[in-house]
Amino acid sequence: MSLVLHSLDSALARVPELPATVRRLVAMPAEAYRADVAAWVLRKDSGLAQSALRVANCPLLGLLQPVSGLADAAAALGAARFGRVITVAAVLQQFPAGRAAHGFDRSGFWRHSAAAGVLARAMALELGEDPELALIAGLLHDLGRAVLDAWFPREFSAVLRYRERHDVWIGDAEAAVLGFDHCSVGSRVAERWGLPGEVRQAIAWHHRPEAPEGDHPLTAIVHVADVVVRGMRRGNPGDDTIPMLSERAMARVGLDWTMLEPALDTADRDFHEAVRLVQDEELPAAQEQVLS
Amino acid sequence: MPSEGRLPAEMAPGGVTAGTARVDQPTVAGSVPATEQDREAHLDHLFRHWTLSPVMHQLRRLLGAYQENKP
Repeated sequence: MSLVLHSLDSALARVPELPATVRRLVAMPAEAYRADVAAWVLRKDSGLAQSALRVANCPLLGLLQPVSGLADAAAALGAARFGRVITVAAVLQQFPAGRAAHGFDRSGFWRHSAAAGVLARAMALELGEDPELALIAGLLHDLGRAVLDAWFPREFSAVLRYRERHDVWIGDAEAAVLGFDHCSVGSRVAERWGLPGEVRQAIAWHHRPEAPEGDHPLTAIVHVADVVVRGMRRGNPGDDTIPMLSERAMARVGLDWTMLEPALDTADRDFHEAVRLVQDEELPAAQEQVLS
Repeated sequence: MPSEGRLPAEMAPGGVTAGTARVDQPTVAGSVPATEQDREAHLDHLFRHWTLSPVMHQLRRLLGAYQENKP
C-alpha cells in the first residue's frame, strides 16, 4: 500500500487505539480522582499495570522514593501525573522490540529518543519549564517514525533505502518517498492517543520550530535536544546527519550556549535511566552500539 | 526543513557518497571517538551537508568540546 498525503488519515486507521483502560483513567476528572480507584482500574490490564509501575518509578519522572504498588504510585503522583505515566507506559508498549526485517535499528532509535528526552528535561530544568513534559516530549518526539516502522514496514523500508541511496536526512527521505514526514504521522497519532497538547505540538513541529504553529517553549526545547543529541552519539535516529539548528528557537526559550554545556552533563548522567525507561532494560555500556 | 546554509548533496565535500556511514553498521560500543582525529572525522561527517553558518559552527564547537571531555 502506498501512502500519499490525502490518504494519510485513512492509512493511520491501522494504528490501534491505546487500551480502553488508559482512556478511562485519563478521562477521570481531577476532582473525582482517587488513587485506590485508579490503581484498581489499572490492575485490570496487568501488562499495562506492570509497565506503568516501572515508568512511575523512573526517578526522572520525579517520584522521590520508589513505590512498590500502583495505589502508592497513584497517590504520590496525583491525577495529572499518574495520567501521564499511564499514557507513556501505554505508548511505549505499542512498539515492537527486536530487530526489524527492513534493518531499522529500533534499539538505536529508542536510545536516540531517550537521549533527546533527558537533554530536553535538562534544558527545561535550566529554563524553568516543566521537566516531566519535556522528558516525555523528547522521548516521543519521533513517534511518527516508530509508527512507520511498526505499521508501515514496506513503505518505511523504501524510505530507508532512499535515505541511504541519496545520503539525505531521513525526514527528507520520508517526504520524497511518502509525500509527508514523521512529524505529520506522529502528530496525528499523538492526537488520537490523547497525548498532552504541548507534547503533540512538539511532535508536530520540532523540525519547524519557527513556524507560527510551532511557537511554544517545549517545541523549541525538543528541537534543540533532537539536533544536539545527534552529535552526542547516543543512539540512532535513522540517519547519520545533523539538521539545521534554529537560533530563533534557542532565543525563543532564552537558551544560550553557556546553558547548553551543563545540560549536556545532566543528560549524560541521566541517559541510562531513560534507556531503562524505554527498553525495560539497561544495556551494558560496552554493548551500546553507536554510529560510525 | 529549512534549506538555509545547506549545500546541495552533490556539492558537499566528497560528493554524495563519500563519507556516508551505513546506519546499520555498529561500531565499537559505548564511547565517542578516542582520538582528536577520530572526533574531527566524526564531526566532519555529521556536518557534511552544511556550509557552517555561525550557529552551526557554534554547535560543532560545543559538540567537539563535549566529545573531548567525555571520559
